Amino acid sequence: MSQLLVDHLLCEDGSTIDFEERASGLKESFIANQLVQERVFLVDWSERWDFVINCLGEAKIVNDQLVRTVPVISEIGTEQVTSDNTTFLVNPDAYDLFATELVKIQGKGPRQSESPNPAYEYAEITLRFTQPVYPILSDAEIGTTQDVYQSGGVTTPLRYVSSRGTRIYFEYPLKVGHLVYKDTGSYAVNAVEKKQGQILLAYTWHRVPSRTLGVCSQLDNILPAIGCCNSDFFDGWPPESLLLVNVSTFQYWHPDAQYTSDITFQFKHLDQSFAYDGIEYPLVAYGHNHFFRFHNGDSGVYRFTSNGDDTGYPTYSPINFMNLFQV
Amino acid sequence: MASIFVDNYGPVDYWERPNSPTESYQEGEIVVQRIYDTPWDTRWLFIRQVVGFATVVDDDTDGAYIQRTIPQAYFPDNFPEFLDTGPSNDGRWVYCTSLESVEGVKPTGWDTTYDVGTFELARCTFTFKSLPYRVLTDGEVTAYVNNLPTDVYIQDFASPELRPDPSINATYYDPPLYETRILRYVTKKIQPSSQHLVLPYGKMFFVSTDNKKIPSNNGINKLVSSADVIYTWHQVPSQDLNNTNQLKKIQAAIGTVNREPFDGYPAGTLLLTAVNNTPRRLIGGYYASDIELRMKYFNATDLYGKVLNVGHNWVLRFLYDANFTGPVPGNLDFSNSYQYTLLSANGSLSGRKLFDATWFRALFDVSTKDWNNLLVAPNP
Repeated sequence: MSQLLVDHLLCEDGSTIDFEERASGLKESFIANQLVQERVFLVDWSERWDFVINCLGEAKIVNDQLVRTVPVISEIGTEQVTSDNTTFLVNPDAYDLFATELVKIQGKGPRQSESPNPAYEYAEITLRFTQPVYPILSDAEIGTTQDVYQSGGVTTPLRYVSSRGTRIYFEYPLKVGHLVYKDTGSYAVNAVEKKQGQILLAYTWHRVPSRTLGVCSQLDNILPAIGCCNSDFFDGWPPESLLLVNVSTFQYWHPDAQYTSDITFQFKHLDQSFAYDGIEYPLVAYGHNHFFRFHNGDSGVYRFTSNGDDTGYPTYSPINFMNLFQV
Repeated sequence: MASIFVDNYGPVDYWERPNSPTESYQEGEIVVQRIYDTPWDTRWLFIRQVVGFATVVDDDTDGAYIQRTIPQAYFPDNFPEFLDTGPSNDGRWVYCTSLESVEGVKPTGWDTTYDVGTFELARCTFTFKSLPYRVLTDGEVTAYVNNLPTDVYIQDFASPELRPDPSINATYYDPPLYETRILRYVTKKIQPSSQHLVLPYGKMFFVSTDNKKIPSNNGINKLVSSADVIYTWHQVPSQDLNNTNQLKKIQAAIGTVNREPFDGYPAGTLLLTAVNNTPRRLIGGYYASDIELRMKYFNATDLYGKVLNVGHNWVLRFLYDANFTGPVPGNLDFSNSYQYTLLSANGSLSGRKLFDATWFRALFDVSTKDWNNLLVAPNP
């Protein structure tokens, strides 16, 4: 007979749900670089979905604020002893696993009511715990209810935001007549290409609740920002160095019947601070509104506007990227 | 034992099997499996009622419209409730989407007419899933639409000259069960995108302290925001194999912009670019299609990212004003820069526009009515 561990789950609203865990239900695996744990719980049938939702966490919009309940954590034993009595850490950097999927709910015990509203004495619930690629932190841990925090012109993603970057090279054509051969002083006959490094960055904001079914409602705020650059520091990137080039969404249901999106922002990062004679201009944005210019037989990067004055329109409007993360 | 009511037949009994249902949530989807036993002879009546179906009804008063029998919902006690306020307020969001198998239970003999075995019971395994579109009954739609105010299409522009189509200032009526309000069986997906505009040489300048206006050496790209808006109209019943008549009507609208505000998009901002048709058969053999309408949304923005509610017939134009003192937020008429301007064949409002305007609500109408005659009263 399998061993049952008795405990209770403390819910977000302060109530508790009693459960038993089937000790033999524990399964662990590591496939495709993903550490996975499955655990089996027995819960009163009428409380099964309250239990699942409290385990998987929630995200809701309440009074125009994003309110999150983070999923429960399953800690995996980190220290293992090998046959030669040496100790090694299974996962020394991050051993917390979060409840992310419901594998199955199966009714157990005598059936207590019939279709169309079937009910059983208790539910056997199999939950899967994984390690998401983004930080999951409670309000108490970060000291704010916001996923992305802004202070003093600096915007910083704190939780539920993942990022990845790919370095690319940008072909930057130069006009015929601006480069001369060293020995003869004659112009280069063909247009040549200068290489300017850029980074294609993708930030994904995870589990963002939507106000409407079928559409990510945040897109109304986000759409006009495509083609704009950052007016403030964003995650350490200087103003005007990030250009929002595209946005994509993945939409799905959360088990609490909340339609939810993962929103991916694709930015192009350009920093030309090193582009001129190796001189670095720290904390100054020589970003997307600065262009390469030949001037008096030399070259450099200069700001570019519709009237040749700082009052004119730049090519890419600077806006506050904090607005991208508002609900 | 429970029973389900079948139109023109009456109640059909069924029994849910022990250990049914099983519930799961993986990769953003609720999946429920339920196993029912039902009398063998009426199994397909039962199955059709659980899976749902749709037909076109032609009414002398309102013309053709779609009548739907919606699939069985999975919404037992203590199941999470969908709280999005809409035409249906009972919170259901998981529906039967497929019949996995039918197995005969307790053989009773042989049916010589169809040359198959007969059984006392049919054991039916159904899959229920959370759907990305609303599933509403005919009654729910009718009750909801009858409580809506009359559709009044008046463009919210400071000046009538700025309207993409100045003639749109009207009310009109379409019957509740026309699916023109896209209340049910329509999935909407928005894929943001952008397009590169190469700014003409000599229209923008390097900032310098010596007051020299130095143009760029190269063509400069500007990124302009847009979006692909994709509507999928599910299970559109048809009288012919490929929904040909419906597709012909939609085909005529390709390359046109929305004449009226549609689904919250201002007139002129949606351009119908393509249509995909996926033929299917509904349970009971009815021909049907899933029709995907692909539209390009463009709404010009000012320097501050504020939308100006002008669409595809408005094109970027460069201006120069020696007295320019600075940009004004939300002002369409910003000078010394680029400005969106209406383009027409003769340079006046009366000229033919680059993209003609058509009624986009008519794209979701299976009747043959002339939508130009649906206007019932011009607004003063």
